[in-house]
Amino acid sequence: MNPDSPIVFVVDDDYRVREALCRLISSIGLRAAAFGSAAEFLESEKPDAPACLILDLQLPRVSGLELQQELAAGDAPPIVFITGHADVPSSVRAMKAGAIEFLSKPFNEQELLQAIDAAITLDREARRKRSELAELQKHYSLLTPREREVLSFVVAGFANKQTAGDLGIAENTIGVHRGQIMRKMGARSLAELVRMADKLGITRTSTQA
Amino acid sequence: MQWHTVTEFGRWVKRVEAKTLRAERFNIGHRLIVCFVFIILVMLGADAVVLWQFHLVHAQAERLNDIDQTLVTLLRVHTSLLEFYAGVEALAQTEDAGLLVTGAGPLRTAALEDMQRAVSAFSLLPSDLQRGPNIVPTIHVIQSSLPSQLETIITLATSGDWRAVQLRLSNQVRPLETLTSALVEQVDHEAGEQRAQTVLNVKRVERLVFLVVPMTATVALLIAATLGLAITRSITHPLARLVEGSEALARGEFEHRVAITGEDELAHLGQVFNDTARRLRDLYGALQTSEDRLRLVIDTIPAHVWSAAPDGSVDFINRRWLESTGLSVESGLGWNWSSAVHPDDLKRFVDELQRALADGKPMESEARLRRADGEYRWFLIRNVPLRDELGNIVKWYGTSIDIEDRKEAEEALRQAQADLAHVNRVSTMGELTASIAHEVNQPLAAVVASGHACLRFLSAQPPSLAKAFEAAESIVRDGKAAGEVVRRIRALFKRAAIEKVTLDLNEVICEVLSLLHGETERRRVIVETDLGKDMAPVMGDRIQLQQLLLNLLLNGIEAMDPVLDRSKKLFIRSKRDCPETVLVEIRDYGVGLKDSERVFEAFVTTKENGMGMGLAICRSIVEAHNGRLWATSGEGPGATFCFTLPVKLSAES
Repeated sequence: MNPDSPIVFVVDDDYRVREALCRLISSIGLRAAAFGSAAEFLESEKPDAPACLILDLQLPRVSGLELQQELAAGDAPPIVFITGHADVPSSVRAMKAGAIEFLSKPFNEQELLQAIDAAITLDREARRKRSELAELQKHYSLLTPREREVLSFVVAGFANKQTAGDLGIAENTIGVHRGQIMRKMGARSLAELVRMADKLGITRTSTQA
Repeated sequence: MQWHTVTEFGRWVKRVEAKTLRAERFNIGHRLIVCFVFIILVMLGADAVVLWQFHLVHAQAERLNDIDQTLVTLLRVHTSLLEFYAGVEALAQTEDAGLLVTGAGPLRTAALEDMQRAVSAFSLLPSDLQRGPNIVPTIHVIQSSLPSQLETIITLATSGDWRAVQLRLSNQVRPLETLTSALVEQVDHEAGEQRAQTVLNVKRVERLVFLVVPMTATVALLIAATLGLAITRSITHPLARLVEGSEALARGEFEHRVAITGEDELAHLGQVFNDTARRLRDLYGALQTSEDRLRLVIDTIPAHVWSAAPDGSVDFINRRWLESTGLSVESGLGWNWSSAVHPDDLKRFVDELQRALADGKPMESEARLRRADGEYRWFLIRNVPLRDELGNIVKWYGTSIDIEDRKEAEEALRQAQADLAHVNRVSTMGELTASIAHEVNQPLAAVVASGHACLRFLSAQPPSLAKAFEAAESIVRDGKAAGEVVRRIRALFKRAAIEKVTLDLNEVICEVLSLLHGETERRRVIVETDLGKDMAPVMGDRIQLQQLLLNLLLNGIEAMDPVLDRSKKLFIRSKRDCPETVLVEIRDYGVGLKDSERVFEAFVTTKENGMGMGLAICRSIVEAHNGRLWATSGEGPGATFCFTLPVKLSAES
C-alpha cells in the first residue's frame, strides 16, 4: 500500500472490537493500526499520512477524553469516538473538544465509514494547511528583523512613506526591504503577501506590539 | 424314759436361764469367764471332797501304823530291860566286883538310852494313842530307879556280898521286868482293839469314798453342763434371730426387726442390725422415690429417650416415644424402632448409626419419624456412649427431639433469605444496567463490524474468501461471548433454588469482573488481580457466590466514588490460606469503614440511597457456605473485605 495512503488508528481495550474494526477498515481498503490503550498509541511510531483516530471513550487508566485533550495540542488526527454506553455529558465534551463523530456500539457501518471518510478528508486538508504554513514559516524565517518590522506595516496597509516616517528611516530603504520581503516570501503580489501574513497570524500581533 | 429325763432337764435349763441367770445382762466375755471360773470352782470342790475322803482313809492307816509303832517301842524297852537284867545277872554270877563295875556301866547306858528313845517315840504319837497313861510314867519310874538299883548292886558287889546282890537282883530288878511285861501285854491288848477299830473305820471310809466320789463328779458335771448349755443358748439364740433377720433383709423385708434382750454384744449387734435395717429401709425408700421421680422426668420430658446395648439394640424407651409413635414397647426394642423411621431416611440414618457404633463416637442426625396419626415429622436424634473405667462402651443413650417446627421456620427463613438475595441481585443488576449493556454491546459491536467486513470481502471482485471466513469465525466467537454475558445476567435475575456444585472460585471472580468491566471503566477504577494458582475447588452455589463477589466489588467501587485526589484502585487477591480453606481478599482505596463489624448488620448503610442489605446478604451467603466474612479498615486508605470458604473435601482425598 502507498505510504501516503490514509491510515485509521483504533484505540480500544477490547480486542474483539479492535479486531473487528481493523477488519472492517481493511475491507474498505484503508490501512488500520490497533492499540489497546492510550499509552500504547502515544508511544507508537505513526506514518506520515492522512489519518483518523477511532477512540474508545472508556479506556483503562487514561480515558478517551483525556487522550483527546492531550492530543489537542499537537497535530493529532481527527477523532471518531466510540462508546459502549453513551452518556450525554461525555458526548458533549467530546464534540466540543473537536471530535468528528460520537458513535454508540454497536455502530452503524455507514455512519462509521462516513465519519472515517470525513475525518480523513479533514486530516488531509489539515495536513495540507500545515505543510503550507510550514513553507511560509520557512520563508518567514529568512527575513531579517527589520524586514519583519516592515512586513507588519505593509500587511497593515501602511504606505511606504508613512512606514518610513514611523520607523525613522528613508522611504527608499523601505522600498528595498519590501522587494526583499516579496522575494524571500515568494509572493507574486502584495495581496498574496497579505494572505501569507494572515496565515502566519503575525499581522495583528506585530501591529499591536 | 431316759429321753424324757433329758427333755425335762432341758426345760429346767431353760427355766434356769430364763428366770435365774438373766445372762444377757452381761457381756459374753464376762459371762464365759464367770462360767468357766464357776466350773473350775465346782471341780475344785469336787476334788476337795475326794481328797478329804482319801485323807480319811489315810488317817486310819496312819493310826494303825502308830499303834504298831507304840507296841514295837514298848517291846524294845522290855527287851532292853531283859538284856540288862540278864547282863547284870551274868556279871553277878562271876562274883567279880571289878567286872561288874566295868560291865554294868554300858548295860545301864544302853537300857537308859532305849528307854529315852521310847519316851521320845511316845511323845511323837498322837495323844489319843497314849491311852495307857501309865506307860510313860512307868518308864520314868524304871528310868529313875534303875541307876540307883545298879548303884546299890555295885556297892553290894564291891563289898562282896554277892548274896545280897543276887537277892537284890531278883527282888528289885525283876519287878521292873514284870512291870514292863505287864505294860507290853496291856499295850498289845490295846493295839489289838485299836487295829480292829481302825480296820472297821477304813472299811467305812472306803464305802463312803465309793459313794461320795462318783456323786461329786456327777454333780460337778451336771452343773458344768447346765452352765455351758445355758451360756451357749444365751449366745446361739440371739445369733439365730440375727441370722433370721439377715435372711429377711436379704429377701428385701426392710421392715423386719430383731428382738433384743439384755445388754450384751449380741444385743448391741441386734441394735446395729435394726438401725441398719431402718437406714436401709429409708435409703431404699429414698431410692424408690428418686427412681420414680427420674422415671417421671424421663417419661414426661418433651423428647424421646432411649438406651441401647453396645451393639445398638435398644433396651429401653420412654413413654413419650411410645405415645408419640403409637407403637408397643416390643415394637420399639432391639432394632424394631426402625419401622417408625421414614423409608427415605432409614438407610442413611442406619448407616450413620452403624458408623457411630463402630467408631464409638457421639452421633447427631436428623430423620423423619412416623407419628401415631401416620404423619412424618422431623426429629433431631442424638446418641452418646457411656464408657467404663477401661473405656469400653457399656451403653448408648439417646434422645430425639421434634424439630418439625424449627425445620419449617428454617425453611421459611431460607426462603426469605433467598427472596431477599434475589431482590438484592435484581436491584444490583438494575444499578449495573448501563455497564451490563456495555458488556453486551462490546461483543455485539464486534459482531456487527465483522459482519459488515465479511459482506464486503464477499462482494469484492474477486471475493476475498479467506478474509470473509476469518470474519465469520470472529462473528461466531463474539456472538457466543455476547450470548454468554446475557446468559450470566439472566441467571443472576433468575429466582433459582440453591444448588451447590464444585466450583473454581477464580473462575467466578473472573466472571463477575467481566460483568463489572463496564462499571469499572465508567467509574475509572483500575482493577488489579492476584489470583492464586494453587486454589482448590469449593462447593457452592455459583449465582450466590457471584452475587457475593458482585456486592463486595461494587461496594468497593462505590466507596471510591468520592475519591478525587488519588487513583481508584480495586485489588482482588485469592489464595489458599490453609489446607482446609481458600481466602478471597477485596481491597479498595476508598473512604474506608467506620465500624468494620456493624457494616454487616442489616439496614446499616453509608450510602444515600442504599438499603443497607448488601453486606448482610453477603454474610448470610458466606455463612450458608460454612465460610467466614469480615472487614478491616487499616493500613492506608480504604477498606479490605475478606472471606474464606472451605475447600471441597472429597476432591482432596
